[in-house]
Amino acid sequence: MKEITYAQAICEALDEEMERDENIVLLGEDISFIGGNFKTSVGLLEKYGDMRVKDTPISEAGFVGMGVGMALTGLRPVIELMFSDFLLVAADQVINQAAKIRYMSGGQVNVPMVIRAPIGAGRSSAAQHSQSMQAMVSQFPGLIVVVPSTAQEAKGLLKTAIRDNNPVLFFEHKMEYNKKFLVDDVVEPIPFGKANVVREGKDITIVATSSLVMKSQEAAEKLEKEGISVEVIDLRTIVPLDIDTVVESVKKTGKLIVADEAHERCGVGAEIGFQIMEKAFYYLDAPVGRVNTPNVPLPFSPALEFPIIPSVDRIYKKVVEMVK
Amino acid sequence: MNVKTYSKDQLLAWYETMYKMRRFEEEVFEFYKQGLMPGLAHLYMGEEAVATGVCAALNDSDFIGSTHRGHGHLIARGADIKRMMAEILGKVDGYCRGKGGSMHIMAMDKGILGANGIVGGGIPIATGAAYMAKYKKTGQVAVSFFGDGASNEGTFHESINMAAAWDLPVIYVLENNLYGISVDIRDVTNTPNLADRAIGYGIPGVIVDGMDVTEVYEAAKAAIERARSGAGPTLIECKTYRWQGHHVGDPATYRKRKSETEKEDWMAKCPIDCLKAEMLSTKKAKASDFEAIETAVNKEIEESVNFAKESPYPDVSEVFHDIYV
Amino acid sequence: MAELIIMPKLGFNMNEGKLVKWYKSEGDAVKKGEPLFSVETDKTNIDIEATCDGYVRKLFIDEGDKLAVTLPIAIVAGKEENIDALIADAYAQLGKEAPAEEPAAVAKESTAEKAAVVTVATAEKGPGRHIATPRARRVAEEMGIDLASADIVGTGFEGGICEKDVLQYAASAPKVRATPLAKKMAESAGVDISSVAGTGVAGKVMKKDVEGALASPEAAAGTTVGELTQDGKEILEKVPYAGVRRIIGERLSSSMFSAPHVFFTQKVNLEKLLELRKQVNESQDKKTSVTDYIAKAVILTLQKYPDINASLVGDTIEKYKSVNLGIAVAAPSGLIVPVIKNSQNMSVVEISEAASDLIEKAREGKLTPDEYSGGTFTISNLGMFGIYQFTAIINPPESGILAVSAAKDEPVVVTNEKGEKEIAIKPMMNITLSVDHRVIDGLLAAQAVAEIKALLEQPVRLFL
Repeated sequence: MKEITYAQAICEALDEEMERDENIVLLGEDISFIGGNFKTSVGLLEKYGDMRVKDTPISEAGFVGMGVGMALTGLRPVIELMFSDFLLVAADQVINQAAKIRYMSGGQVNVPMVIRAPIGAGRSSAAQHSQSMQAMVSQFPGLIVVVPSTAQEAKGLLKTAIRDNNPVLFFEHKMEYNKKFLVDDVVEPIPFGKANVVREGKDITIVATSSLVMKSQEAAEKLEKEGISVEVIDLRTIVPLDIDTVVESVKKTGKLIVADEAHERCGVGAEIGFQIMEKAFYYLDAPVGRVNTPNVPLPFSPALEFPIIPSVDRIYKKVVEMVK
Repeated sequence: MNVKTYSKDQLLAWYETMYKMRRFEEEVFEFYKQGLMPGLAHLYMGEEAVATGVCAALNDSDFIGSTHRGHGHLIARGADIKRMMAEILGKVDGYCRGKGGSMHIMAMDKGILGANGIVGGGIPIATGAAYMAKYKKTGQVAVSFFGDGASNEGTFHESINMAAAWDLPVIYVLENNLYGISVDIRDVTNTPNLADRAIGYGIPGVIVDGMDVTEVYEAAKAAIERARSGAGPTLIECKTYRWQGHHVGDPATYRKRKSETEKEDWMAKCPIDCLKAEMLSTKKAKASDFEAIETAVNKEIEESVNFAKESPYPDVSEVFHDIYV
Repeated sequence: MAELIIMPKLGFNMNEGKLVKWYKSEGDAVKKGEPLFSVETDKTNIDIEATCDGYVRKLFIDEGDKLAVTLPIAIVAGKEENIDALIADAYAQLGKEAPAEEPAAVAKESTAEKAAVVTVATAEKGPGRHIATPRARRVAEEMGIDLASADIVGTGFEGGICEKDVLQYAASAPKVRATPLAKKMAESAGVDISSVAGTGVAGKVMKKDVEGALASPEAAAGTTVGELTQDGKEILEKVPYAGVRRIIGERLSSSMFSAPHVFFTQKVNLEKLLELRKQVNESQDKKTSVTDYIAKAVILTLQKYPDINASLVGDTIEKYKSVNLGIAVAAPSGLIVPVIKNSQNMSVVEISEAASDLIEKAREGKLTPDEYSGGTFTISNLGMFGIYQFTAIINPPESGILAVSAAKDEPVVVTNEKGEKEIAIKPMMNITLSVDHRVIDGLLAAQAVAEIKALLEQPVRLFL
């Protein structure tokens, strides 16, 4: 066990995988000489050289598309988009190309590609650098969508992402990069599609993604002192979705909150809430609750931004509203 | 047309390829008119010399990226026309088991990275394949086919820029058939020769007569050798023309806006007829040589048509297959 | 659009209703179709829905009040509509003077705005008796709690009943956590079911639990020392004479005191009928009961003597073509008489099907007023409890009731094939017809009883 930052955990996962498989190539803006805008590829240029750790021009559609071509021809590209917002610049290559090529070719080929992209608000970056794209991309069949919580989870899930033969969107939370976590000395790949019950409880279930897992746990600790027992599930992957674990939990608690930082409309909560209605209707003791970013662009001023970011307090209040 | 340099066999092989493309498209046209073909048919008639000349200069292990008007590229790479025809009809024996159709035929066994329904969508993908070849030092090259329309997409510029910066072994073949659906490239671009754009990226830009297979071949061969040697990409603009509208059913009235006889003028330069005439006039081949080829090709086309018609449609359960590995 | 809401008449015999619950307070917005109040009729509680959109401007009676039917109980009107005249009219009808210092409530501003914006949410709001979460419904069902009749206060989403409410209710009202059979057994054995430990789901009292309690020595001992009356009697339990109990009491005493009852008893040999019933039950799926055959015999008799199938209504004796046959049932809440309507052309099997459906509903308290009113004659069968003979009080406004007792093997004098008299053992059953002598004379009653006996002793006639 050691204490490292989330960014270091990402770096370690990349390093360990690149060491293992020479077909892994990193592409992205500012990833090479300076080791990444969020310091997630520090030291890799020196170790693996310029062809495997490639600084690209600011051409997201171009280099994501190159990644698709590399993946089709035997490499395993891991592409960094500096902000998940930039997915929209490369949307055709992600959604029309990478996600669909296997299907459209009748299964002739795979696209073993990872796109890493930071999500989340909290840095006064305003509306073009603060979005959480995980809900939007989950719409498109053919993509895997990963939303890791802690550094340990990020490391294990990134290894799985790199070894997976599908195009994987791997969303790291930018507010976690510099936080320190305890991480096992050896982290094995964590399978996709298996949610993790990180805290057991009996009064209400919170299923959360990314940093909201940690925020939910914090809220749960506070609530426990007030006699409310909260179960927290780390969803890990939105696609594939482990609805069974959520269903089992809701059968026990009867109440569910879905916490995801993307905008509320048509989001992860909408999907999980609907599936729970279908699969656990007679176990629901209250309407499914959501904690999301409201349906507004992320504002710049901290005075405007912080109140709308899903917080420990908002999770806490939502639980109280539903349980009391 | 420079037929003197090439052997009879080579010239006849090109003739056969172009003739096969033409006959294939004629059958697709028939299928379409008979209502047997779902979707849209974007025909390659008139542009045969481009794919034929470029692909003749490639090795079997090289890659190409194709477009929505891709049947010719596939035939030039030696793809199985039975499976192509079956795919076009949405049958289970098609290359993509009926999930791609005319615009998206992929044949990885022939190094075909896919035809692409998005204009410009395939350019960075072919560039990525070239990146692989460079990093893994495989000696392969990649050709990206695209049209004049795609040359105004961001991916064109982004890809050429990166390939130029990193000397990637890729050849950008711009099939300039003048129209993006109905829009004349001359009306939306202030660059009479699109190959001139290469200057901006610091790579060679070559203009060729896309109706002359020998000229295309020569330009492609030079560009491929350059790429394989590690000197980087080339942009080849092939001036060509499509006999049909954007797709079957497009009356292509826009063609008369600049010249009443535009289509006829281009058709007079038919790459197949011209090659045949040149070979006959220079005594490179006899009429019987062409007859033998045509008979064989027609038989092959007929077989492919029958194969495609007889192939069953995929079972509806297949709709859920091949989404994820 | 102002509307005067009245105490509704919800049954033939309903003269007054008790307002059990107001779902709205003065000033609340109300939507058409939303429950407005709940009223206790002579047998069950029924929710009455608002018939127009508006605001509850005035309530004239409180929860728990009784009021004669058709008298005003509330006014629903526009938010600021002038309803002074309507209020005055209502007080006049109620025989009261309008209190001077009581102005009609003005609609609450916030509620009104909310109602305008989110009509759906408001429409679903209500004090919960009819709103329950899916989970609460499932849990209630598993615990044998009927949410519709149980008085559970909802604290969940929008005031709906949630699981916690059901569990609290179950904990505070242990009597409910028992199977219907266990309740009935405990009741007939005089055992307080709340003292029986349940072994079913969530502590539900099962049949075997009651059996166990009956077998235990404490059950017989009756150890609790209760309150003493002034003259020293130890009180076991004090039960309010109210609700269904009181309604039954008032109706039956009214019947007994206003209708001069005369009784006619006959002994019926059931030998052939029991044999026939056995054959019927073997030949088809629906298992018929003896009551079904008696019902058929009664129906045929009433058709033959329509003077008995009659009611005294004011100055008129109404004789009915419809035979609406009531069957008295001991429901958990008390006596109730579901009615098989238009039974005149029904076969025994059809009667059996109709009767078992109604009896089932009666035991579950799910009868609608229509299903327990409008009878023209009633059968009361206590045979299953081994009663040898009894008389029944007429269920007004009917004019007759047949009391059916148990069949018992008895020595009887019969004539054998040789025409000799001999003593034989036969299953004999007493039936006693009670009639209202104001409407029916003794001769007619005697003929009717004889006809019923004849039909039952030659049961093949029931199928002719």
